[in-house]
Amino acid sequence: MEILKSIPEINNQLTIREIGEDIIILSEDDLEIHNLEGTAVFLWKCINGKSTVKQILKKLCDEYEVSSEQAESDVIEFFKECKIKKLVSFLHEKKD
Amino acid sequence: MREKSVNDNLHAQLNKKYREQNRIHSVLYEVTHRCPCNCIHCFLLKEPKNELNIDEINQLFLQLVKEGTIEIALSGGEPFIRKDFPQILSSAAQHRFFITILTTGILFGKPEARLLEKNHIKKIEFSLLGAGPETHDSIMNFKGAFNRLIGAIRILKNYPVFIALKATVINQNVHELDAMWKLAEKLEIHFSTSLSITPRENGDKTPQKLGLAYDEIIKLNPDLLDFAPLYSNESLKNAHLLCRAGCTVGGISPEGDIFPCILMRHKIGNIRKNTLEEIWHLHPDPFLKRLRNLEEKDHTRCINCELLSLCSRCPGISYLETGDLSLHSPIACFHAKAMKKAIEMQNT
Repeated sequence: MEILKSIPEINNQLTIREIGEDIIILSEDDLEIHNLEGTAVFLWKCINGKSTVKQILKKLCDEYEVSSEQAESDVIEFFKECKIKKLVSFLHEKKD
Repeated sequence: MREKSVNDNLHAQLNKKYREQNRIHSVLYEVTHRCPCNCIHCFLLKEPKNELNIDEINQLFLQLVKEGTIEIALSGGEPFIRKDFPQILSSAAQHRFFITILTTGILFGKPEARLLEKNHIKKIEFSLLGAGPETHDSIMNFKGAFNRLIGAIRILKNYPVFIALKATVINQNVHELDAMWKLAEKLEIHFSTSLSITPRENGDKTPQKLGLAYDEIIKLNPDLLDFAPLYSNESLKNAHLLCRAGCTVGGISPEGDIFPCILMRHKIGNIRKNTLEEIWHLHPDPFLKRLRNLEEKDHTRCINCELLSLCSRCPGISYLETGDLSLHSPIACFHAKAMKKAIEMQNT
């Protein structure tokens, strides 16, 4: 999957706040609110503008002791959703 | 401005989350008490303050981000009087707060409008105290205030910012209430009114003497007053008894004193001495604990009042009036009685 090689970057126009164990994300116009919980918070915190989705997937698997096969589709889905909602962009693509 | 959210349900969930954890969602920060005006009803004592400097403000904003704060209103005094206000705005914008500025408009020109645009400021509120220079300037004790305000609004019409005008209706301007509405309509900007006059921050009720008498209120068209509807919104139901002060709302003075709300001026700490986390969460002042533990039933006189639907009690103003958190607000009771009569008279 092409997305696995991509490096996600957080949209710098968002208002992001950590509330307890959750992350609240608000769009610039306050029309959209997103509430991340559980593994979504873990994935979000792994976004650093350097790691590929594949590398983030590996971190998740190590942290939660699950296989890559089990988690891959969920992680891809998460990042696709983030892109659709304009929470992240994929500006860079890492060449193998 | 958000008229109707596409996900109001999420907003409600968000409010619930903040409430459960007593997290400050919204804060009003008075960056200064200095002001070129001297409004006759002003509640500030305007004693010289050792204002937080820009480094301290940056630290404060960092702590607010950690707290989870989303909305910040910057007011004064007159905020634009601070020479470093552009830096304050820039810092707040970098931390991605939703920023509102409350100002007289007196020091506002094209550079200030560009400053707002640069920092993505979405909302600005001005005080309107008359429909023309004579009344507005005399209440503000500043010649030229009205013309400067109108000039500021005209400049801002070219920028993507929500402009709101707010009027405190007092003896000196009630005769222009209708004209103020018409002016706002002509300018095509949001306008709201209030009969409430806040006692001075030390509890001195002198400003409230400027308020309208019963006989004057009952003659007014209730439609010209934003009365009680403030609390008709479901999310603010019974907020006149138990509001968000000390839970999800906070206030900060120029020198870093922390209040449960900017109108509930009981100092619960100072940001120079303790962190916000220590003041708000780890070692809350007994007053703050009491405020958070209040229940509707503690408001023994108010809870079964037949005028509750017309009540505009602000717990902060009530505390300034009475020195007690659960007592009725004399001014709100007075206004509710007058409004009831005004509505009856309108319907006959």
